[in-house]
Amino acid sequence: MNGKPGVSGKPGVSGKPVMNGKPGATSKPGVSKPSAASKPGTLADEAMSRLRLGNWLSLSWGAVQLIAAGVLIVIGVGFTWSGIQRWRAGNALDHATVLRLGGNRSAAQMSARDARDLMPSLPATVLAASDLASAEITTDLDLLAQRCPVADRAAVGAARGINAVLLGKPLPDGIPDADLAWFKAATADKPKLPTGEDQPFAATLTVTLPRLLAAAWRTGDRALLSDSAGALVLLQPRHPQRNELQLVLAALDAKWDKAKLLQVAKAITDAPRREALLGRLAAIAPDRAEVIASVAAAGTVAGRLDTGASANDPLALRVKNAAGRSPAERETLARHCLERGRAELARQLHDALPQEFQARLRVALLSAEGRLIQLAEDQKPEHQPRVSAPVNDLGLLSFHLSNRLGTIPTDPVVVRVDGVPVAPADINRQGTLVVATLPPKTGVAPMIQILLGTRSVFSGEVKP
Amino acid sequence: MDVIKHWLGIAFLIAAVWAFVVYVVPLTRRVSVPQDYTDLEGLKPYEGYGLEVGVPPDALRPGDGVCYRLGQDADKQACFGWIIAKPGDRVAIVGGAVKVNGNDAAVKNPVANQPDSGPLLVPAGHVYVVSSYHRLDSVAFGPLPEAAIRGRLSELP
Repeated sequence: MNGKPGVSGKPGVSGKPVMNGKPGATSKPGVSKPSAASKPGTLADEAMSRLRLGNWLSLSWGAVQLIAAGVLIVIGVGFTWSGIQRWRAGNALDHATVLRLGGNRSAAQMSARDARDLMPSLPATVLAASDLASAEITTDLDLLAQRCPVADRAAVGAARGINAVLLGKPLPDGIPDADLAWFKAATADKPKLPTGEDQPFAATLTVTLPRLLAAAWRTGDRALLSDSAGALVLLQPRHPQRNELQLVLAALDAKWDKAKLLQVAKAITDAPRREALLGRLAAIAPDRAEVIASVAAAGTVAGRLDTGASANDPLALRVKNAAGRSPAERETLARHCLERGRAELARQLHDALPQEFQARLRVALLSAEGRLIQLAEDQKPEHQPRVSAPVNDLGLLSFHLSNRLGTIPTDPVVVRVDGVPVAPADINRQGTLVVATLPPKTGVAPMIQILLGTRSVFSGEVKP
Repeated sequence: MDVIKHWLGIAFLIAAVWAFVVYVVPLTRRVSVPQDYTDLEGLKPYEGYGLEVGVPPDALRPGDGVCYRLGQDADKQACFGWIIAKPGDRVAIVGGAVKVNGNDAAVKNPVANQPDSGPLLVPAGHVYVVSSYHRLDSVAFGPLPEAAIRGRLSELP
């Protein structure tokens, strides 16, 4: 490099156009005739334009790749998030199932609602969190049946059937055959237990078996009573009315003598209720009437069949001696009493507990005592009283009254027929079932109003 | 060639991880018997038993030993028993004996203080499980939903 332009022979070093290796050869116009190819800057421009074209393609392809990658990332994130939500919803549903199995219905409902919130498009979560006794859910179920996957159609169909049976409406289409047989049996004039081999859903059995049992009780069908009570005991051994069910089965079982039957009857501490049950059972099973009558007589003589005396009652003794215990220990003992069906002992402990401990026991205690009105005060949906579609048959008006937790109410029930209240003596209650004898001159479709305390829970015409 | 080698390497790695998760991890799953658990004869407290998790419901057969949960309480998180009936079977208690489809089930101890009951058609998605003393089984809690089954015991005492 001598610093002179073009001397080095390296094109472009001087910054001037270079032709044939001679710098400045075309710098003087007119010295030689310039060709088209040798116009100043043409080749360089072409090279640059090609370079620009290459860059443009690279940029465009890069942008396409970026957009595609962005879309894929969005899809991937969405897919991953959906997977996580689905997994969490499945877990919450399983959790709800296990909680329900353990008897914690309130927590099970909450868990089912969590599952629905996580995955509202999944039929399983919608069904688990729905109140199938509600008229408001009917439209949602119909819509769900139209858009649900094939695998869930049977469950949705069964849910629609349960909803129809609970509301006293005609059965819709699309119910699986196994469940349909049970629904038809439960709503038939002369009910009979289905004998098919196809397995129905557990929810179908839970709804239909008590109806078959009630029909058998009403009509005095001994075989159906025994079969439905037996199936219900096996399906729900911890049923709130298991003691009554066991009494029905024991009274109808020829192998059970007076001593064993008395043992079963002891579990029902409500004497008038026990006597009413035994009286009806004696009428249904005349061959067992003598044994049943002797058990009823023993109950009348003894007053309460269970002694209730502290000396023979370790749990009552523990409650009596619990005064010196800490509140937490007394709360635990109260829960133990509730588990053993001794709400009166739990109440004793509850009333002596500090306020914060009382609040924790409130729902369990009120549920055990059947105080539906007080339970409903917290406005929680699962605590609100609900009533099944009343049935007007043979001069009797029957319906079930409970809440979503299955609480058996002890609050007063008022039934008004065309505005006139039915006398309390004409209202019989068996668990959640309420049967009111209608006045003789009742019209074909009387206007019925059902009140729990002062709160109206049903109002409308009820045709036979 | 290098690209093929590269992708083959990745595929081999994925296959190895999958095989480990599917075949090796389940072998290490064990369930311990709670200290106070006495409802199934022969089980030793604190002893660990092999547990096959993720068994499809259709693969569960009568006679299989299973571990299940019956609620949220700690003492109901690990219960043990045998499956005696599947959906569609009819379970009844006659004279204290558990019968499945009219035949005696292989149950060690009779059900005490239970009048003749049933038959019950085992509902869809449920199994009927019994243990030795019927305190924590289907006799006491009803047919168990598949969600309650934690897994199948690969070994029994």
